[in-house]
Amino acid sequence: MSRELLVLILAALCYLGGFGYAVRSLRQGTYRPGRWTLLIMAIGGLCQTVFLHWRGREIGGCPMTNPFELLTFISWSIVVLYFIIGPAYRLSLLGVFTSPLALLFQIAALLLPESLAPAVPKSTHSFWGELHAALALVSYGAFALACAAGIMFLLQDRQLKQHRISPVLRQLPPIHYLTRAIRGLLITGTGLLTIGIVSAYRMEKLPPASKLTIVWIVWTLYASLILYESWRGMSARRAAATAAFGFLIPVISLWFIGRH
Amino acid sequence: MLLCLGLSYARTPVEVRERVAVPGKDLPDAVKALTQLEDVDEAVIVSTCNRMEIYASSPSPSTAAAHVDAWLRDRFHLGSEIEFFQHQREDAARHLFAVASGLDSMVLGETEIFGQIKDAYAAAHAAGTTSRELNKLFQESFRVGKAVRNNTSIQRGSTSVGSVAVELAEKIFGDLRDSQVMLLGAGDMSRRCAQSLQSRGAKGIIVSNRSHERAVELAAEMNGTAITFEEWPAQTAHVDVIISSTAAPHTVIHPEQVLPALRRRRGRPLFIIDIAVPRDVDPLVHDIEGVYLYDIDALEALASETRQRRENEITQCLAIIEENIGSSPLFRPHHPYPPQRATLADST
Repeated sequence: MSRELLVLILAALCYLGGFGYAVRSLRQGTYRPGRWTLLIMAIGGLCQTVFLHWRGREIGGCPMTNPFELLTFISWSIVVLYFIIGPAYRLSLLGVFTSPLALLFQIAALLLPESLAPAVPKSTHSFWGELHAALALVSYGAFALACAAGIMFLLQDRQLKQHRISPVLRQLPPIHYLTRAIRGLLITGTGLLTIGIVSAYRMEKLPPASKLTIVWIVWTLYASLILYESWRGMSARRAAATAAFGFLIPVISLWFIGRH
Repeated sequence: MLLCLGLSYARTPVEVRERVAVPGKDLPDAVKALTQLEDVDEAVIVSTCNRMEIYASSPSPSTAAAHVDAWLRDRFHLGSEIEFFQHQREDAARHLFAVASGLDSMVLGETEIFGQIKDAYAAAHAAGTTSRELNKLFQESFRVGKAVRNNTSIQRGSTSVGSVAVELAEKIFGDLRDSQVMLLGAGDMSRRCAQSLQSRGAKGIIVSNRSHERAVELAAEMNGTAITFEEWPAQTAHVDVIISSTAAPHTVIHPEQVLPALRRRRGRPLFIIDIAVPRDVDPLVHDIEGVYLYDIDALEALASETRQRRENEITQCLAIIEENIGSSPLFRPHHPYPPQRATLADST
């Protein structure tokens, strides 16, 4: 087994461990976001960073040449954004929902046949092309976190409406913080995706029309949500539901982009 | 060897407890007086509104208990009808561990007692009436108290209507320092509820009442603002928590009053606490997205659920205590602590 696969498996194990610990302590009602949770997530993120660095050097550019690398990059983006966004919105518990997302993308990447294929050095380099791809994938990371925050919101909203406070609910962040985080993540993701799309149009050779169309569809979904929310106002529940279920569109688009 | 002697709310009425209370300023002299007694080497007095307990170290606990008993009766002029509970050796330690863990408190799992024991120990330590045995015992009790709280859910949740309301408000808004509260009606319960929210940082209180004079009076008491009863619907867009407790025989808050306000709130939730009977708020308000309506039954049900959950944790807490009794170099396993809560305070 290559050292590249080894570090990614280690990253997946870290996320699995972090998720397992969080679920166990949440069920027991003793969850405390602490240094250990952050450390486990940080080690996982570091392993992925090491992989991306090695792979980037091998191929001579951003490692986003196949679905395996794309999914790994998104998983890494989720973790990096978690460390940036989590403290900003006082959402330490977002890690509980971030780790399974990062794990899911990493496992999916490792299960792909491309994970066993050697790196293929790039023949041509395009700064705008790499910026386009990198920003688009980081924006997907932001949408993934918004999805996690949306799920947390919906779980709490449901329980509060049912007049119940389960031990798990007690430990989730306040719904008002989640609302702000969802808005912030959607704006961040859409902003990054906007720059990514603009970058695509600066490339000497445009990406295939089918791929661009897909990216435009994703952008339209999130941009419309933000605009509608800003102009007409939207209940926090609807915004959370859109962020949670709307993430299916980026996921489907990834599958499409990876296959074409 | 260890001795514990005292009385608590479980068997002794407040009329007696208030007579034997030892104020903080008197603690040093009281513990010094105890160590002057025959066979009492070390002493700590834990005196709170719910208990007065003396922990002592003695080469002969039975003799020391008789001396301490006599000292108490003499100091506080108590007749023979007043009975003190008494624990010795490992049972004394078990009792202290249970008290430090909140298992023997009136509100099961409350945390205030932990600080009170720390203060009591600090006072005795400063007075020089603790030495090897009680130092070790109290250090152990702090460790066990923390272990019980960290490894069980004994302190989680809220056990009263007021604290449930505060917990829910924090669950919805997080830091209450950015929250405005509006009181509809100037009843005592809504006032207490608002005070709880205020104590957690709620910044502004608006009072609206059919009798405007009463609203002004209450607003002044709470550092808030009084508005007329006709003005409250206009404030709904700006406040985060509404506590309603009017004496109206019909509902006063309806969906058509709340909906327009919500549009102006731009996604910020609204928490409505209806503690009036008959209810002030049309239950249909709860169906509006972003509005969380809790009436008195819903709040009481949550408080009751927490109390039940805490009761269910007792066995696990006692197991932690037993484990620590067994592993401590000070103690050896004796007979297990009675697994019923009532017996914690009642056993003599």
